[in-house]
Amino acid sequence: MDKKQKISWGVSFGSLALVAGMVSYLGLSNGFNTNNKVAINQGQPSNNNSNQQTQDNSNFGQQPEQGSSWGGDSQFNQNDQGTVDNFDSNNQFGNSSGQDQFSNEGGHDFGHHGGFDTTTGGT
Amino acid sequence: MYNYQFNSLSTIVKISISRELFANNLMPVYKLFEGVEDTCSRFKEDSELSLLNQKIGKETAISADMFSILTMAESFYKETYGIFNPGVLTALESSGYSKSIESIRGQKLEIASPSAIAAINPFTLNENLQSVILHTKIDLGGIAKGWVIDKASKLLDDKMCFGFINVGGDIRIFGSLPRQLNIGIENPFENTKIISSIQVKDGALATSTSMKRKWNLNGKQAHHLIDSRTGKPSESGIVSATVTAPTALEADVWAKTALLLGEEKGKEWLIKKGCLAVLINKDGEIWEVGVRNGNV
Repeated sequence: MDKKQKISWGVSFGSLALVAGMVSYLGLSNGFNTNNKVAINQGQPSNNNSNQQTQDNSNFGQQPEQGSSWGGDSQFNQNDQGTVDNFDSNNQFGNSSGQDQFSNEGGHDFGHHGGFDTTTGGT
Repeated sequence: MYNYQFNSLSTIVKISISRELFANNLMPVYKLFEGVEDTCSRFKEDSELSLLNQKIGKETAISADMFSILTMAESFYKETYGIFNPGVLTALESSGYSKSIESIRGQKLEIASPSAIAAINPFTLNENLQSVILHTKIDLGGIAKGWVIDKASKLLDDKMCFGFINVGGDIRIFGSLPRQLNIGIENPFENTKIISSIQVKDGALATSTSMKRKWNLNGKQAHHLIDSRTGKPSESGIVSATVTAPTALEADVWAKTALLLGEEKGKEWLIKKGCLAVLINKDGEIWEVGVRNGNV
């Protein structure tokens, strides 16, 4: 009887541990999911003027501030994280601050236009 | 660099600047562009230009901004011997460009008898009265953009920083850039590709092209660049002219003038002006002056 009881307890404990492990695994997996938001500068017709930036919003910790707007009809989109979402229809201004990526001369990045600081082509 | 943008003048105004701007810095710039649309748009029924065009032959008091723009237009009319001519509106409308470009671009239009105009002095200004008498309907599309870009760059230059404004390919640099700006020039036949480049550290640059605002008129291709000598869309061999100048206003007008003058005279004009330029003709050939190895 003792032996059977021990086996029964063992099976029960094992099952419980398996379920706990599954729950823990699923919870962690979900927790690591990230929300990748892609913001594209809608620019001039040329695709050379497109400017893509990404932002990772992890579920861990507080979500970074997306920027501030001044009322529903705000004309400005001030964004401290250096990103810009031009799909905000109420914002007349977009703001993006970039890193110094073309720093070979003076360390100042003017833009991301296929190696050019900007482009021209008339309208 | 901090980048800001907003929509105006049927395109995107892009500002790239070395320091962060806030609403109180940007609003005056935005207001400048909004103001020039209210003053100079021929597609706004209540704009100052639209109202002025209804008063041909009558002396009319005008705003300070309109007087400033017309003064510059008159100066360029004389400098270019009438090639730059704001008095082409009747010809422009006759060739089909009577609505905003979004509604006619690529369309097939039928107009019974497109009219032609002679190059005449389109208006007379009176400085004392701050007034004008129009002799024909005028279009300020070829000058207003450069004018407002220069005004905006002066506003931003006061902020003790550097950067540039790009409005549909018209670029004005302000402040002292730490290095030359490397500007890609779009292929007029395939504007997603860059066909050439130009480097500038100060002043301005503009591109004029007959390849973007175009439509079909009575079976023939038409565009918005009217040759005031014929009153019809220019048949110039040049399809794209990129020109540098001290100001956006000059760059804008000089680029149009070079294109309208055609390959031979356009090149002569640019050499005489001593500016950097890249011209592209109908066959896709590129002609550069002062761009890389001195005059070509």
